[in-house]
Amino acid sequence: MNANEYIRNRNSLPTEYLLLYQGKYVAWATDGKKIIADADGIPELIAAIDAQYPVGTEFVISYVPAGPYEEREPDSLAGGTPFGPGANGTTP
Amino acid sequence: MIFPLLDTPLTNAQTNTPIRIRFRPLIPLRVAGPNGRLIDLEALVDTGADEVLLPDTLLPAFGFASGSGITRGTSGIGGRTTVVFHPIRLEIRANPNDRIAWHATVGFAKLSLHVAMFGLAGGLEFFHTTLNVIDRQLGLFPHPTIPLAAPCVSPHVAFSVP
Repeated sequence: MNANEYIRNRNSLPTEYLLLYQGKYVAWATDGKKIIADADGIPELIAAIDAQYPVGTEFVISYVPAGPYEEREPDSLAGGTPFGPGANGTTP
Repeated sequence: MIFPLLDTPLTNAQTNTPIRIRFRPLIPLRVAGPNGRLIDLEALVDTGADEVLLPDTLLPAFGFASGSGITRGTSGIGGRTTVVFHPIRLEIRANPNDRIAWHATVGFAKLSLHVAMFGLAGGLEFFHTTLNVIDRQLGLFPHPTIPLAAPCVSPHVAFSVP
């Protein structure tokens, strides 16, 4: 496992990819390039991995919060950057 | 060890479209139970958390029997909850040649929003920690007091609690 590679690859994925898994526990490939399984709970996720992949398969468990989960005006928040080219951070 | 911060998208409440990226200190944390099972979790490095906390739904996977462990209540942002403590091994790897494993007693609890919390007891207490938001980097540098353990590697190998 190379955590730097994992995070860099995660950061290069389009946000829309994550939105497909909102509210799910997900198992990432250890290179961070794709999600290899998803489920409603961690035990179910591990069971799915154990059923689909050989013993010893490495993966990283994460959770994609269910949206919508940004409830304040973006300009009132410190840190972060607007999403997408040309975005100005204002609420549509 | 240096880790990039992880981009986390936030979405607009009305349209459910992504509007902002937050940079968060989320790192893969490898956990090994006494039964040898290895599981990697995305853990939020949180200097405000008292302990390393893992989801209690993992207790069976690591071979911990229901009702075992030391139990105590704790309070956090999500309200009051019960935490069960067990000894395990933890490992972080910046890359294949830069990793460290150690023994720790960590809490298992019902968690929301994040899969795991990398807090003080059992975790950050053994590291000099730096957060560079401008360059989007997290630094975790082991302290000599860290109770080193054998690397957590596959295939699964059971271990004894020291």
